[in-house]
Amino acid sequence: MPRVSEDASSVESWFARVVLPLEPALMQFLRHNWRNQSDITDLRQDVYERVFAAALKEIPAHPRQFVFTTARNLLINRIRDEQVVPFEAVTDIDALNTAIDAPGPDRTVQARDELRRVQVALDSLPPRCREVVILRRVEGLSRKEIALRMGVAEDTVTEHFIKGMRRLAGLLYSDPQDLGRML
Amino acid sequence: MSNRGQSETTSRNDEIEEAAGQWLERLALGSLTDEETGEFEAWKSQSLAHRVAYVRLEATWQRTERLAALHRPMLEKPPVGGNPGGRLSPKYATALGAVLLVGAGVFFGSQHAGDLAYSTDVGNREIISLADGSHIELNTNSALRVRLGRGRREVYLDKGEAYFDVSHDAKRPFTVVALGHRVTDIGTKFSVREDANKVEVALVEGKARLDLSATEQSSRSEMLLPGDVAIATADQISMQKLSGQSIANQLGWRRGVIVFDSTPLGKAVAEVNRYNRTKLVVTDPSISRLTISGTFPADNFQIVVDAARDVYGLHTKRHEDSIEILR
Repeated sequence: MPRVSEDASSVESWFARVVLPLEPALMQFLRHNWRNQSDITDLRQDVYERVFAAALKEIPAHPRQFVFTTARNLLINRIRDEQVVPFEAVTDIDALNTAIDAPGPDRTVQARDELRRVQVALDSLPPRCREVVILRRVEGLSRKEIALRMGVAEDTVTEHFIKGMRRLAGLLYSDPQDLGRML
Repeated sequence: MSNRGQSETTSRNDEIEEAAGQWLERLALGSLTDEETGEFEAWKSQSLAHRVAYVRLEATWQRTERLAALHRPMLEKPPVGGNPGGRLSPKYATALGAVLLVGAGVFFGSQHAGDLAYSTDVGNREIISLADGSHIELNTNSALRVRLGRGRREVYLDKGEAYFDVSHDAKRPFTVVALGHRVTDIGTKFSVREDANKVEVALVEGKARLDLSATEQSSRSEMLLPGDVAIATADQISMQKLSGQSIANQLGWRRGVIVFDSTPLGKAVAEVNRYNRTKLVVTDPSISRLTISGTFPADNFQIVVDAARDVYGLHTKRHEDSIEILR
């Protein structure tokens, strides 16, 4: 994969490895503390941007704490900026502290559950999205070959793939509790 | 809470995520020309929002990589019958998988006498269920043939590594042959790994006998008990006793991980390279001697690279199909 510079790429891999696994807790925190649920995804991305920007200067020593402090500050700023939002929008800003202290899952358990987790998430995708992923991953087919196999246009393969990846990201990162029910 | 789903389609993030998906699709299912690579880099540099959205989707895609191993057994890939000594050619293997994806289960139970050949590509694993109730897990870049006869069961490990969970049958001994050495089960779970000119056998449960290839007049054999690891070269066997935990670590690949416990970096890199097409290279002996510990996903060499960088402050240099680790 092409990389802008070694620096940005090491921040990218740090981000994927350390920050993304915090997403379930972050989403939970945002949902609990922000009334307008339609803002949540944007808020999450704002937090990510800030964390990423900070990491480009220096990778935070305590990522979990850093992510949640960033989220908290963002919410507080939003409340100040948008006078219209009633103050009780932030219902439980102190929940932040417990969120920070909650220990992350054990590494070994994580590794063992990972396969199952990804598999279950994949199984819950729309069948055609799932098929595209499997044809690529298991059989190593190209877009053109997948289109032939499925009897659809290449553009359709592209659509299924993007839809599939976006849903999968949601299942694996944002809403693992939905996944938990299926495991 | 109930409008959570809708919010995904109306947010500003939506457009960016869609664009990130477009780029990922082009990289994952096709390839980029130099010009497109430039456009992609420009897009990523445009805003952190782009970069972050892309990293998130890409990480998702990376996490599906290990599905290859998981899904094979579910597709009920049939063994290739009547193909003595032959390995699956890649082309044939693909055609086979194709049939099975649409008609999963059709071939179920179609095992018949004769050699059954199985193989895996770099980074893949496969679980094979044999008609006699035994199970074999084939590790990365490995190949074996199974011959189930009336009076005996034989498996030829042609390359790589496999784990055997043998359904014991005193009247039908189960033997694994690797580089001419024979491992015969006496009700057992064990792994066999063939590496250059040596064979390593690790016994997990039960009992097995290892017979050295009979090139010399006096053939040697050893009885293995749980925790025993035997390394057989052309003419000798060396034995080692490991704890249950160490054996479990050694078999980490069965759950998609590699476990290092104060492992010299040189050795760790060789291990990681078995599972990835992008090879890690360490030439400096002073780096090879540094040790590394932890559990790593077998298919993600980047994590090992990151560990080397974060823990020892080493540097990396990217080449076309390799990554060099330097001071």
